[in-house]
Amino acid sequence: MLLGKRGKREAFERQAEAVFPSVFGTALRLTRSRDEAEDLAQEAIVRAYEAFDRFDGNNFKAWILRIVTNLYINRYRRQQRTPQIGSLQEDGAIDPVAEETQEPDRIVLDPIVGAEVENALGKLPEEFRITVLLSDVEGLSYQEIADATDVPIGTVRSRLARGRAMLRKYLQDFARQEGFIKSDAVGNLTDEE
Amino acid sequence: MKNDPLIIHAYVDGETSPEERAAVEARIASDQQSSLLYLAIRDLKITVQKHVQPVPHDELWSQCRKRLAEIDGREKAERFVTKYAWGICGAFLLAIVLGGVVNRYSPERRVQPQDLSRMMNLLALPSFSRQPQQAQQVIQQVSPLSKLRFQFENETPISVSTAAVSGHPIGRITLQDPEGRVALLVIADSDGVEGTEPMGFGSDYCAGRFADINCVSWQDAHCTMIIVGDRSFVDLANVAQRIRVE
Repeated sequence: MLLGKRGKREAFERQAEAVFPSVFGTALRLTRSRDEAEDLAQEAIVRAYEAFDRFDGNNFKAWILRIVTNLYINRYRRQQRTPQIGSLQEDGAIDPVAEETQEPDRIVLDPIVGAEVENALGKLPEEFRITVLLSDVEGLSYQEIADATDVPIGTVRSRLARGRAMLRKYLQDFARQEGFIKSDAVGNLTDEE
Repeated sequence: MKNDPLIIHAYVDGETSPEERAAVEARIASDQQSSLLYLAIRDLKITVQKHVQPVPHDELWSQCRKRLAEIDGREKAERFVTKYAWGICGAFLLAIVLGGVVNRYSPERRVQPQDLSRMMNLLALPSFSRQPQQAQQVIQQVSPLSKLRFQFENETPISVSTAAVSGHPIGRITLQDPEGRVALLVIADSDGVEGTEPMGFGSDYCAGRFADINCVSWQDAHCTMIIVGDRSFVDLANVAQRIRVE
């Protein structure tokens, strides 16, 4: 991008400000700590600005979320050294199909509030959480998620299916505990015939 | 494809080709299990999109903007230094050289202690006459004292000599009084003597010791006057007070 110094700064700030809620929201849901999320988001903005000359001009949001994700993976996760449960479960990610569901998910999930969805997302193993967040919250394409997480596109597909299945199970458990649905009223999201 | 649930996820996410899309739609229409899976994925996606939103943080964004401004400032400084590195180095070098030249060719305004010892050694003692009138005439003829007129009360000038030390024209007058001899050094174009201290608050006289001999200095007629002798500071100051310079 051929921009003057002032033009570069203005162009970057204009685009970064528009996507900053996504940057901070993603950082918050990845780190699950407000302080760490603030550090991560700020660091990502600085890195992005320093690398703005190399931005191809296509999808700024996907590009900067890729920086957020890479920073998180390279820096925060190594610091935390938490065991990655998800990676052990990736192969054959789809559970056997359950019985037919008796109630549509629309009805089951309707009474659930935002805090519960956030909690359920937080319970997902890291790889699945990143993939579901980038796809369902931030609307990135499979290819953009693959670039951001540095995995093949097939892995993105399986992580997404597996992550959604786990997320739905957490939400169903919550709905069942709260009495929104009867026990065994719903089946699993995963299927196989 | 019939046994592949991933394609239904891809369909919900809009990640299928036209051919795949047609095939998935046909499968959903004919197969109840696929239809339920499609609805479950779609509803879950809608639920997540509805409840999990981007998080605005205006204060943090302001901090980010400050950091960007800092980066710009730092880069600007770095670019300036990089671009003009040779010029800056040259300017420093020139300043050092000029400073050295000026220092070399500009006389010190203050007399250094080591110079004072040299002055004492260079100026030989009695060289002219013990006759007061003759000495007075010599005082008025010899540079740098030619424009100065000295008046002494109790002291008698008995010899005069001149020289130049470290760029300062200097003169030495040996004075005789009932107590003995003292030397009066007159140093033109100087502001005082390093290493001497004022003899009291607001006093015009400064006292110090050089080569184990007491001296008292003061400023008069754009010159530094120094009385040197084997006497107390107070006695030397009394002699100094009795000397008039015009």
